[in-house]
Amino acid sequence: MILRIVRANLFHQPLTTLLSVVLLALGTGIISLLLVMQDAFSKKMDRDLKNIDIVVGAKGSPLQLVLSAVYHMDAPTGNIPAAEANKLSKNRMIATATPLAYGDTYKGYRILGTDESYLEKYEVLFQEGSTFQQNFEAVLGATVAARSGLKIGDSFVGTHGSSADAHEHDEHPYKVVGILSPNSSVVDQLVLTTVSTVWAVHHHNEANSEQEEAPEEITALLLELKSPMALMTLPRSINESSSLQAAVPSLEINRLMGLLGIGTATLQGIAMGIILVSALSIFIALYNRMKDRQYEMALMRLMGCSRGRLALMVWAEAAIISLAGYCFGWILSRAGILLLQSFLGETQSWPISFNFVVSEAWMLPVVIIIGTMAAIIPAVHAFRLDISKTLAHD
Amino acid sequence: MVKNRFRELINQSLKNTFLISMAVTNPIEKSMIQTTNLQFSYSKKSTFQFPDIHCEAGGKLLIRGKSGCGKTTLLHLLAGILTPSEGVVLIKGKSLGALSEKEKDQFRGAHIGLISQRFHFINAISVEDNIRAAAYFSGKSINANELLQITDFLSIKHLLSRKPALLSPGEQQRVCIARAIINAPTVLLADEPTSSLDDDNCKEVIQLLETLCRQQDTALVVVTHDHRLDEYFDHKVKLS
Repeated sequence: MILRIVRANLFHQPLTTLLSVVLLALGTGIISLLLVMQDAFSKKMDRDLKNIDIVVGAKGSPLQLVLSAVYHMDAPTGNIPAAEANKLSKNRMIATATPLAYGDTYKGYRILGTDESYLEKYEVLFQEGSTFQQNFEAVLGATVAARSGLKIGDSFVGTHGSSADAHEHDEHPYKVVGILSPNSSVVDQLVLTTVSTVWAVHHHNEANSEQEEAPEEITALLLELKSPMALMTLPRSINESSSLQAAVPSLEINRLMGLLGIGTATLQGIAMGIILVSALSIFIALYNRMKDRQYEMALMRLMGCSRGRLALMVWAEAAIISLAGYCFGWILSRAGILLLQSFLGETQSWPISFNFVVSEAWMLPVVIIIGTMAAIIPAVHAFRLDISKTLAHD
Repeated sequence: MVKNRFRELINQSLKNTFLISMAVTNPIEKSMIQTTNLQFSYSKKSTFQFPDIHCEAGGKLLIRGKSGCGKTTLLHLLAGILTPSEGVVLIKGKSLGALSEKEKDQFRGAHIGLISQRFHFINAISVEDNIRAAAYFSGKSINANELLQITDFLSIKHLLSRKPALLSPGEQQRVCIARAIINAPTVLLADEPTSSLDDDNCKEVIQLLETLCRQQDTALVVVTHDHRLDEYFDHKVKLS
């Protein structure tokens, strides 16, 4: 009976209830979305950073070097001589050194010249075929394969520069020899081939323009160190004693996150504000209803309902509104994720999942507590109600 | 201050026990409702003193007085929603003053039916649920038959699924009567039940109340200023 009365009361003034629920849903939805995005972003950043302790490339902005060499989100800082990179690779503090040579693009996806160690670094699995053995053999990341529709044995040509309509190197078709399983990392969006393929394409190009054979160059070198101790000394010695630049990705990413953090903190603040406004609206709704219903409450007391039970009914209304707001907020955030994924899907496949993020679960008690706080004054009012005065009042 | 208040409370409860023991040995043992030396003051200046009343099971009592002489106050004292400054209310031999707030709520739900002058409902739920709520809150269970019988008798059976706010005042009053009587209370208290009714309806309503109370063996206490009710009651008390 109590539940029935509470339910009936909620639907008795549907618009007021709706307003409270919508405000609460908006607040929790935004916060939830931010939490999921933050979680996905840092997970992606971590995954792409797998086993990369130091990035070596041409001098320039260290953040740019990290973004271009690790995440393939930015233009490279320039090229470095392969000979110098080779020399560095022999340093005994280095476990593995993976060369990266940026070549052309295929339909906007970067063709990356590298070696076997890159595939090992990301622990890739082959969906079909196997790794590249010779020049002009290419392995496609899962997203590239899915979007382009290329199969094993198909051939394609790269485009010079990264825009889709730039000059095509049609004299040098690549042959697909392997397709990777989805890896939820940057590898999904890459076309991988050997370093010498990249050289071959470009030397040919330059030979056409009647130039001397250029020295062999690579774009960057990803280093995995033998011990974390080397992280303290090696970057400095590289930066000071050579024409190369060494950047520590984890440091650069922390710096980047710090910059982005201000933005998310602001959004979180706004969302918190929305939640507080919705708490206020729940309070006002309950309080107004209380005034309308003081006769009802006096009546229920008259019929034998105890004060505690009456206060409980008031609280239950607030709790149900809070719970509904939280649930709709969660649904809203998932709808937001779907929308974002369809926007980002073209360029970046972020591993945003529908999974419950732990910090989201924390929001449930917070929301319930806020609802409870909004119910305190009306509930106390119900508790203290003077039945006689209320009933005698005209 | 606190000490004084405490002493006062002790004195009060001692007095109450004394009065209760008096009441138990009182010759009018059959009384379902009985008051002794009842006083109430809203402020220091205005104190109401009420004559002692009593009414037995199935009996009828009319309390008559002009407006402002404390009729509603007396009724609220009898219903236990006001606490007297002096004196005792005994219902079925139990002193209301000796009960805690929670016990009083329960006791009131089970033993007292009150029809107030204004009709109040839980507006969000249907007429039927309003009547059932009375049983629910007092912890009693009613079967569908009982509900149908009473509502049929009051000719409101066809209104059960409606919302109370949509009924006419006359229908609303009958719903209030059904709600007050559904638990077969020890005492039914009615505040000016006929003041806004014409002669025919006045007669009908008072007869409905009489019949229902007789059926349920309930003591009926009516407070009113309405002279038309005089003829239906043998037992009358006048407030001044």
